[in-house]
Amino acid sequence: MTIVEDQRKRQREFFTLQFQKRLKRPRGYSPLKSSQARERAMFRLLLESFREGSSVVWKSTFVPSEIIYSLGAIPLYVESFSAVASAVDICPPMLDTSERCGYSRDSCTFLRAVLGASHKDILPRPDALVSTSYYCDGDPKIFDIFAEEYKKPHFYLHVPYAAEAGWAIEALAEQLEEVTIELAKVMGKPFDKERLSEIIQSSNEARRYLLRANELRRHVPSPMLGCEAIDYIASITQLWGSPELVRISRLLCEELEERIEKGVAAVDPEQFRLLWCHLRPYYNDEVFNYLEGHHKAVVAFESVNLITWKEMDPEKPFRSLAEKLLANPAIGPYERMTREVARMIRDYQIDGVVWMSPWGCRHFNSMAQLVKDGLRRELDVPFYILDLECIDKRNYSKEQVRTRLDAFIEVLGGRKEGCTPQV
Amino acid sequence: MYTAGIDIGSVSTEVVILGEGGVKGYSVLDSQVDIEKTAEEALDMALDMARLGRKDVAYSVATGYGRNNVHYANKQVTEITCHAMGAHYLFPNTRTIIDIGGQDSKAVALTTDGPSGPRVVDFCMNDKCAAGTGRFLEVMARVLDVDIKEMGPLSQKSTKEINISSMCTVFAESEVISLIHQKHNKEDIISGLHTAIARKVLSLVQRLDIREEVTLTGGVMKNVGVVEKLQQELSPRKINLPEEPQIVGAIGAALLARKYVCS
Amino acid sequence: MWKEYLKEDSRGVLQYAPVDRGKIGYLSIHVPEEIILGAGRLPYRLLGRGKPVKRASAYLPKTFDPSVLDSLEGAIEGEYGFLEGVIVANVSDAHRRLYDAWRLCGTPKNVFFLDVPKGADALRVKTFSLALSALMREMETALDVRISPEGLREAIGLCNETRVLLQRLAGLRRQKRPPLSGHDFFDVVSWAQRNDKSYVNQKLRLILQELEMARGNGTVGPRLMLTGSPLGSPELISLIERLGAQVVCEDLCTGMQYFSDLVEKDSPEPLNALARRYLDIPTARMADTRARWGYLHKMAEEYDVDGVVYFTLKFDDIYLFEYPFIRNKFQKAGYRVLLIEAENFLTNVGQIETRVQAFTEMLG
Repeated sequence: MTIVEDQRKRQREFFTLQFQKRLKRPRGYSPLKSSQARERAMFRLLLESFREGSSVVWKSTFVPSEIIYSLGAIPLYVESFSAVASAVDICPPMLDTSERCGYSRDSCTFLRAVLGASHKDILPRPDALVSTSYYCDGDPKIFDIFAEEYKKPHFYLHVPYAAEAGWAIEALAEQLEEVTIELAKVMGKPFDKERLSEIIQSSNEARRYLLRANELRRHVPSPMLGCEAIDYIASITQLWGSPELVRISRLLCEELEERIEKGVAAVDPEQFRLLWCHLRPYYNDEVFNYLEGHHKAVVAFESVNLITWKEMDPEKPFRSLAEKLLANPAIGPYERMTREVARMIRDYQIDGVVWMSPWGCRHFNSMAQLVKDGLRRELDVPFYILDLECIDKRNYSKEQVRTRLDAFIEVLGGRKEGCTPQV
Repeated sequence: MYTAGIDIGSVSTEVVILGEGGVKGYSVLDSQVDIEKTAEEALDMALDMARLGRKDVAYSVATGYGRNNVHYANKQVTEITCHAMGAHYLFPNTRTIIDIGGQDSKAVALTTDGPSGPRVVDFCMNDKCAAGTGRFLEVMARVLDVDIKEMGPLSQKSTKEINISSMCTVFAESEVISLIHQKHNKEDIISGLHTAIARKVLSLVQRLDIREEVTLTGGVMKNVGVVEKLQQELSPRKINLPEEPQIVGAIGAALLARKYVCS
Repeated sequence: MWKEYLKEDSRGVLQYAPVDRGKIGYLSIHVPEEIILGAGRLPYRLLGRGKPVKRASAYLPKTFDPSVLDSLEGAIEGEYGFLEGVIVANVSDAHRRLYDAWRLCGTPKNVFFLDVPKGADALRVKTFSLALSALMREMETALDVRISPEGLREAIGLCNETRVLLQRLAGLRRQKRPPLSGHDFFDVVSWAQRNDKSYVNQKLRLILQELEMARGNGTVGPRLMLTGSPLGSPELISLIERLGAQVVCEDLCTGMQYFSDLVEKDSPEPLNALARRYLDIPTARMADTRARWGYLHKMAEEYDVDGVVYFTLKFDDIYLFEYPFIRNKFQKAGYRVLLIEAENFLTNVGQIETRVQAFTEMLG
């Protein structure tokens, strides 16, 4: 496959058009300036990657984008691409294509959408690919298949399961260093440690702001809708290490502070505070609008916005990045995740937990019941496992989801005396 | 004072009229495409049985999939809460409810701790897969060429149960076809299907903290075969089976209606 | 005649394995048996029960690798109570959660975890060595033993011998009319994975003696290769063979993957040697698809197969994601491929029979 500039131009135009369509889409809320800036930044990143001379590195969820930025390359976080594609409603043909290729309808729609997109060749082509063993089993496998398709090198990082073991950090830091040096070779430029240190500093700065934003969101009533906040995906965004993220997160803090000061509540009157675990349906806002608008149950926090790693040491970039990766509660035994969920429930005064379970997401589904039972042993908070699809709107049944959410809200209401009927 | 509970399910529509001293009238109709019309007809039938008119109904609550389409209802509540309330009304010691409906099956946990009577604390429902629902039996009845209402009685004549190991409706269908070709008795196959559905539903119930007593509700519980298998799987727990399992949701709705009108 | 050797394991094995040697179960063939042997225990491969799952679904979702649900059900039902411990490896999401659920509700109570990278290059081998030594330390504490380098080296010798013998046995299947069926071969491998190695080696020699002289009476039907998700029982293989085809090689962890390569002998660092060999097994879960395809293609050529049956368990992502890639490769190389999707034990037999028979007719 040789890339001709004409194709890239067409791809770029196609996505510019999609983005404009997306901006015109009506929303159930007026977004914060920071959220709009975030959305623009994401699209700019995507459009940049179509430009001639751009180096693009495809990455899976936990590959630190800091190392990619340090090499002057653009990270394409493939699952995030599927989310964008779903939001601009171009996923169904991509999913159909992947099914025609033989991929099972029982498997992850994030990955299948990318597989379909690559088959249709609408993705920015990679110069290299990097995957990690977390979140899921599918990632390294399809990255290697992509590598063969695009004839580009694939680097795989093994994130030790024993995240808390002493040897894990060393083992991962060494791999991160190796991958960075290999990537530099592919890009044809020397690895610049100082540049990486600068990017680590910028990542730290954004982390401080986002931590502050997370803290501001503890305020009751909540200053921000979950529908809007969940798109920050602070734990995994590919903007980590970019100057944009510093600007966006600083602005977010300012806006949240202003709202709190002025007494603006995202949901008024705020009836319930929910914790949302996992991502969201990207094809529409209905579920969030229904919870937050109709039921006045604000999604006060989302597990994907959790920041669990400590400030990084710019002098020891690889070790710090290894620590950042290993701080993720999804790694290791389920007790790590249970602990974090319990913490979020306490920090955000949560009334109920919605654990979203997409059919094809083995990784997240597999923990649902274990975490629910684990929490039941220490906290009395209703927990509902909601079957809901992230990407494929054809697998979404509005009525089915509403019945389940209604019933869950009835459960929460039953706990708050006087809110609902008792027989 | 009289209240009405209307349960519009995917397969059938039930209306219960509740007055002092209990259920005064009820009706069960097949759900039609026109939900509103079915709901009207069912309401009038139930009122006829109670010898009452529409003006006598002080308040009504709609539940089930069509709950938002009943224009005469004063309020909508989900079938999860309604089945729980109905089951608790009939069997006050109920703590777990298992409901198998046409397109959904659910397990509900109830508590009476606290000052204000019973309330739902947890529930689980089937996912997009139809394996543990009335729909599953419907598909299999068609494959076996028997009336769905006969499945219960037929299964009781089974002498040798056949293991249907498939959990997936599509696989189970092909498994049943092979069994027919292998000349197995329909009775034995049906008995196996009932075990399969019971197992599937049990996988939902197990996700809750199962407390006694357990009450079975929903149209599928009219099938004695399914009920027997569920009793076996849940043994030795105390199991309640209402006389009319499919109207429990409507009873719950009528009870809630009484509550609303009083508050 | 030779099949009798497999049957007498319960009695015959006693002279090789004193009763007090406990058994340690394992699920994935990325778990080095040598470590279990080094701890003075017998490795015992868990292959599932092939019965419907009931209680396991209270812990894990139904949209999940059915063989893992099956193992958990066995653990809850106490079917593995005779084991002193079990090692779960990080081979998939499903296995990671099996580790969690087993600790909560299963027996035996000694549940060990082994992390396994998906790559076989230097740094991944190093990481795996670290994971292996962590496992060894854990086992040493729990079982109150010491696993010495000498013990490992001895175990390596023993296991290598099993591998060589099984390779020879597999080689017999290259004949036009193999002296043993695919079903037979499956039985031998799963027997070898569950019995004392010195005993197994001795019997394998006798089996080879008999079969190397024997003439095959197998059918002349199409020669098939079987690949895909783990099979806990030979059911699918016998179904295929009943319909007139012959399974002559299989890329399965209950098949030829088990003895794909030898461990470097007399290595000064036996742990590294083990790490290298156990990451070199080209299973589908490894990221390196090129190595994987090379291995499959070579097998198809060496065993002169006419077609390939690719088996996937429902919800077994690794295979669901690999299948289209491998299918395309095989097709480009001129092989026909049949996909069979099923649950842990064959429930949709009629459906599978039709597909297999049509495939056989097409190849015939």
